[in-house]
Amino acid sequence: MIQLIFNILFTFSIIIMASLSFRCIYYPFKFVDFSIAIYITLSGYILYFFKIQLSLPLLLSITMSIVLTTLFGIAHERIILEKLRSLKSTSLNKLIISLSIYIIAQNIISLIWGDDTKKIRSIEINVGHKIMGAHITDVQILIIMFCVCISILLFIFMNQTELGRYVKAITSNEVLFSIQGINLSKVYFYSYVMGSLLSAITGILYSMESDLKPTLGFDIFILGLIALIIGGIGNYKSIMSGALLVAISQHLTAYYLDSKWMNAITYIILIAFLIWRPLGFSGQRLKKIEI
Amino acid sequence: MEYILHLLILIAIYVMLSQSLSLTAGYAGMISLAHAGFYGVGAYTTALLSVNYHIPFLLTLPAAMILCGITAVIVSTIALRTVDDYFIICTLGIQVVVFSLMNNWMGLTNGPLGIPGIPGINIFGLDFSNKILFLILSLVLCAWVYFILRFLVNSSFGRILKALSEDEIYTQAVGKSVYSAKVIAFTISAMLAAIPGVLYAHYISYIDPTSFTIDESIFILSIVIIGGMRNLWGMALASAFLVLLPEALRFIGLPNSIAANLRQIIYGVILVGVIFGKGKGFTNLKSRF
Repeated sequence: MIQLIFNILFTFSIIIMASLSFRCIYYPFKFVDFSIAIYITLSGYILYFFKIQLSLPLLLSITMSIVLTTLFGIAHERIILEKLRSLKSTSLNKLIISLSIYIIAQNIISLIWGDDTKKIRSIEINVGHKIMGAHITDVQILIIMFCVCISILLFIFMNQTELGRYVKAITSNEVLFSIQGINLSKVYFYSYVMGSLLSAITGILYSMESDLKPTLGFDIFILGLIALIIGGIGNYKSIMSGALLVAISQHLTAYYLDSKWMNAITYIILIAFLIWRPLGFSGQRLKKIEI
Repeated sequence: MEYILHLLILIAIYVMLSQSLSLTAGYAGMISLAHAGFYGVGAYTTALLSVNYHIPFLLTLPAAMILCGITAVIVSTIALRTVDDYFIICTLGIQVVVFSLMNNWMGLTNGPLGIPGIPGINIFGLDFSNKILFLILSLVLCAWVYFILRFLVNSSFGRILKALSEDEIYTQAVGKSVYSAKVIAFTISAMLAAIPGVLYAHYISYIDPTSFTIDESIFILSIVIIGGMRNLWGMALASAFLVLLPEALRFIGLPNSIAANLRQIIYGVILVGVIFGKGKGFTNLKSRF
């Protein structure tokens, strides 16, 4: 039982990280950006490259991985998204572009590293601490602590700093915001950097504990997205509750039914939410028209 | 010769798939990622009916279409409460649910092992196991799908779809029922997607869930986008191009494992290019000629 709760907590922290990084981009940009999935995968593989293939020290590899992935994100924002903004393309076009970028990058990754699973276990597998009958490793505890810290930091950042307030302003009214004479493209840039940075960290945290495969980013990304839709884009509390619901449903399905039904059940919950509570827990309306 | 016929049959199947998707994605502006799911429902219906109950093709085809239609009505009344990117995520969810049913419902679909030994098509004693005859049958069905779609999009119903893809509220304001038009379009599109499913199952004579994954949905969607969203002939060109692309890659001597990835990379690049070229795809070509 304790083990189950702990597993839920672990999945919850990964999902919340994915959700938060997705929110960083979705909030100002207002489109579903599939390229987050590629940042998650890419950071894991770059870590694998430096840590296992070049056998560099762990901290250095992590830093390199975060920096390189974020650079990739920056390049994507500057080259493609900026162009799309100037073309005033619709959010559907942006979505398709990000989906194609995802396809391209994922295939390049599987060309370079192959489709088989890779392992980065930084610390030798140990039985871990035994807390009330549950086995918990150091890495898992570290990951959960890390997620909590980052969530708090992000919360403070969004509410207390100037840039955080700009992001909020840009979400509610872009035109009014640019009339104030603040550089729009700069705010977009920083929020994209933040989003890709967070997703790089998510990828690293996940790959420390689990196996790497080229589609791992997509799986985590989709879970994060579902959590966000269930919770509603509004505030942090609702995202947390969405992520918690997804994590609980995943583990209870695996526990009582079979792990193969995990994704199906999660999607059924998503669809149920879209029918009865399309605005999620928070009830905050998006820019979408509702007829 | 056999090989060329095989490729032509595959192209015909993809032409039908992409044209049926274009009714929702192109004309009504609702991008759906669940199309491979309906394709799969069609294939599984005909496979199960003909393997377990020996029902002839002429009955399994309408049965598959009706089943797809019923599924689509249920699914679309749910999914169409949402718009734009939420709709895409919703259809993605439907696709995943359908795929896990195919993959995990061992009792009905035999899971990842698939269904082997699907009999060939036999209409009034005429055996379609010959590839030329099968190709003719696929082309006839292809033409049928094309004419249905052309009739629909040129009718008043088609005009409602085009209008709602531009502005839903305005369309509603002039007294058209946007919601029911969307549901009908989605259902027809799913029913037409059952036809290539049925053909595929009888043609390959073995189906398993891996043919109907989310990647397949994305592939069909990219044919539609590259073909030019509302250009039915453009889609025929695009599906010929994308089906022949891996063969061309194999022809120049790339091993299969690289060719599979390279093909996806190439169509990803083409998609990006098409969107930047104002999202018209092969329609651009047409206006130039």
